[in-house]
Amino acid sequence: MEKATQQAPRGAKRQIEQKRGIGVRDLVTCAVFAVIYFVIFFACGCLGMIPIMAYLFPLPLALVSGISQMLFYTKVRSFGMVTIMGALMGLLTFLMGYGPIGLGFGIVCGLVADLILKAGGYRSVKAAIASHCVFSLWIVGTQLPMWIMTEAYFEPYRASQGDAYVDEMISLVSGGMLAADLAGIVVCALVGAFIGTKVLRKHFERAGIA
Amino acid sequence: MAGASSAAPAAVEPVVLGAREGFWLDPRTKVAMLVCANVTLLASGYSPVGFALKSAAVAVAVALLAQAGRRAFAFGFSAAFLASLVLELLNEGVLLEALGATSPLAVLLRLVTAMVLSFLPGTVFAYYLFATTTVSEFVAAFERLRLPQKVIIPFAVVFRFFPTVLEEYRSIRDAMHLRGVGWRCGPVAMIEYRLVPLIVSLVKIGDELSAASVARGLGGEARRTSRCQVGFGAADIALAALMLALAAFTMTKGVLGW
Repeated sequence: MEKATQQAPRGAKRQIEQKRGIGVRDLVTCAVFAVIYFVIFFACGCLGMIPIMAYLFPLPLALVSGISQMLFYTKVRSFGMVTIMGALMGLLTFLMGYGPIGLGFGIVCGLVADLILKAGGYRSVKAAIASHCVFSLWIVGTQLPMWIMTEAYFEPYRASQGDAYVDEMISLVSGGMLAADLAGIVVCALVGAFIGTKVLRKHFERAGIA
Repeated sequence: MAGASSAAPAAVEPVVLGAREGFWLDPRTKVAMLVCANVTLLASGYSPVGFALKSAAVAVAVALLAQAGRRAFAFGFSAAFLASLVLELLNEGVLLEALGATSPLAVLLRLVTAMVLSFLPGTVFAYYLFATTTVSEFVAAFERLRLPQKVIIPFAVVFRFFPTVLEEYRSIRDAMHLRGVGWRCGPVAMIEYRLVPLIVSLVKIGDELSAASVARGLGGEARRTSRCQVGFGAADIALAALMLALAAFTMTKGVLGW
């Protein structure tokens, strides 16, 4: 039976489906998960309206996106898909006006996450969790303009408000805050990826889409 | 993607083939304008010249939106921008003194005005791009640039997917509302009963979409043709030149350090 289908004209189509590398199906998968990630990004970004959350919104993002990323990683079977996803996220945020640094971070973090996933042979749960931690860091690229801009934003006030004021404002949002942000993202991503594997088992495998 | 125009007839305007009436911009122009607008908005700073540059970019966005028939949106956006601009100018003069320079209210005001002045207009340009371009046009225009399909296909799918997400989210929200699952149940319940079903339905739609796009010949060896006519006209050149000039002026201003 197996032989008969291979010799039939339909066999040609089968070969296209099994072709190695990234096919249309994989590209659509990347795009779908990029949209899901973006929806979560947007929901968490709305929290950014609360002042302090403008700097801390990556934490809930890393946490919640663990669910969709763990499902995405079960579908990744070839190198490059996570990089495309990172590039897409960078491109979308770039088009939204978060600056070009996010695009670079998206590609680099996606690439590193891809390499980790490849090292785990695309099957290892541990590699997937580590990969999610690295991937989540891309978001810092969209935030960097805010750190850089803070200085540009407060500098003109030096004349009218005095040096002490400007220095205090700048110190409020630089240095330690950035380090805390990075550490927080990694911790939240770890927890998020862990939750993601649970949700994968509880819902997605049962629904037959994992 | 070519598959979208038939798959989501409600969200995509029918393309009048062969006859582009009235004002029309090439998708490539729109993307170039978006990039220029972002450069202008982020790099122009908070000096009077910077405010003038930002306002010019915003004026273009508002005019385009009004032209595309989104008058209410254009009006609301320009009102928000003008209000922020006034607040920002007041900040420098009176407001800071009145509120106390480091009070939480003053910091909050600044963050909000900075967001509206530097980030929101870029988002509005992106909205214009998504709202006025069909997916077929988009793919046709970027295939002309000889971009590889690995770049075009994911982007076109993202493009086509946003209206679908909204639609799916609304039906899931209504269904869960009926079962009494809402914000009062806490964030965990919200994620489990709204995000998880949303992911499941989107993944299934994605599977169907990839089957449809393979059937339409995406990813094949042959060069695809399109019935959408794309190309540059006088309006494209004028608007692209205007936005390029704004971005170039912003960059020189940054380099010269005004």
